[in-house]
Amino acid sequence: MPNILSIKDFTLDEIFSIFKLTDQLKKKSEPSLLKGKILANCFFEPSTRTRLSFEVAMLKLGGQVTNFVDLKSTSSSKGESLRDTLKIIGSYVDVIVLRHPKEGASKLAQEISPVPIINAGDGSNQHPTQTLLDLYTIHEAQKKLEGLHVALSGDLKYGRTVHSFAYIAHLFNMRLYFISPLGLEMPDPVLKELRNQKVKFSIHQELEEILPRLDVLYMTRVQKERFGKASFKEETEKSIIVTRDLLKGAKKSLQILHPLPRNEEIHPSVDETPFASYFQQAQNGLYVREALLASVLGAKT
Amino acid sequence: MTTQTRPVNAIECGTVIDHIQTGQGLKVIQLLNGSDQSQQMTLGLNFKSEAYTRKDLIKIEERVLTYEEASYIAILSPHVTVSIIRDYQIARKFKPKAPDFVRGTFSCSNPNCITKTEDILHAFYVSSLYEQTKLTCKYCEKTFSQQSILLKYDPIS
Repeated sequence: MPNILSIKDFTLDEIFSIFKLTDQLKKKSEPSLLKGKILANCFFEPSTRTRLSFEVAMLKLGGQVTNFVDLKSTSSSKGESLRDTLKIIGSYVDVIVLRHPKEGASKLAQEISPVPIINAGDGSNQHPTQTLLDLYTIHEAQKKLEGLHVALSGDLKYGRTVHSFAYIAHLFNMRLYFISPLGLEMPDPVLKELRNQKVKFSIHQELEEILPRLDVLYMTRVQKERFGKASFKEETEKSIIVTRDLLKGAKKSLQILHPLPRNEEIHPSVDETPFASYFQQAQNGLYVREALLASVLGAKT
Repeated sequence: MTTQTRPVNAIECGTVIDHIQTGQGLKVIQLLNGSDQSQQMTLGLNFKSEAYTRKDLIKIEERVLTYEEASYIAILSPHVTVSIIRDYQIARKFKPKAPDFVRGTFSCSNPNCITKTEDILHAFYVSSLYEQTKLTCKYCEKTFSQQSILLKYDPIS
């Protein structure tokens, strides 16, 4: 794949070929696969896991990494356009990982950069590498993706991880359930697209009523930094907190995923249950990103 | 004996844009640079129409629209009919089809789109279904209807 910009660009074959490469890299490390290659981590927004996992993935494959994480230290604080910034960085390195607060930034980056672009989150639009690692984590545990019942819960309005996940559900004929605080519902354009794709979905207020049907419960944090508290009903946030008690009615094979960081939506006591897949998910992020870097740089294992 | 009157005058030479979806007439004028005061235009709103109940209509004197210009109008109003007039007669009549991709004419309505802060031409993939057109921003992937899409300041001509 030349770039990783949108989850909508992926075919089934491409997804499974990334999974296959991830399996290989998870079993056996390839410390010189990307020797001599340099990655630029360009994060115009804060990140811990995504940035670090790309960095470690590159280092594990024998490549090198350059970073900027503090916008004050870059020329964008001097009013330089993203176009100019990326054009120059693209002439220094072999691949760019980009996170930017504006939606569509990675598509623009791809137009001007001479080297591959990996979208590590653009505003509230998409986070395609997160979706690939989510799918990999589900497939690894459940050995299938076809026909699974998946609930997307939390901040469905601004959460780019849930948008990316919803956009790919049609490829696997998944049944979706949406649960969010009032005011943070899945945006209409996403729902319209799902209807066009003939994806079955329903909208709920309480987790309890749908929990027994679920194969995957995908929790997300309410991103209060993206909006004021006034834009949603805070008291309704409390009805979508996962506790150990709530999980009594769940399928044994239920997986709880979370892109992390979490706040209060998953009680820490859930961490010790077999349902908790979020740490495994974060760990898989490393291997999936190794596979994606190898793929965009055309490296052969 | 009844007297038949036309709601707008016939033109000697120019273009008649008929069957414009009601409510889109002003936007079409804007698209065609209606603020250019050297062009004589007539805009009719909410005319009775046999095919669509109501319609808007525009007559432009001494300007012959190209098919490309007309195809942009078809984005705003998919069923539009364009007649080229010479000597008060219809010299050519056609139903333009909206292009699949358009760059520079429309503007993304998403305030958080990268096109709002970077100096680049806005671009959209266009798809039509019945009377609805959908414009999907090439960059932020948000989709807009022909009613909600914004026009760029610069007209197409």
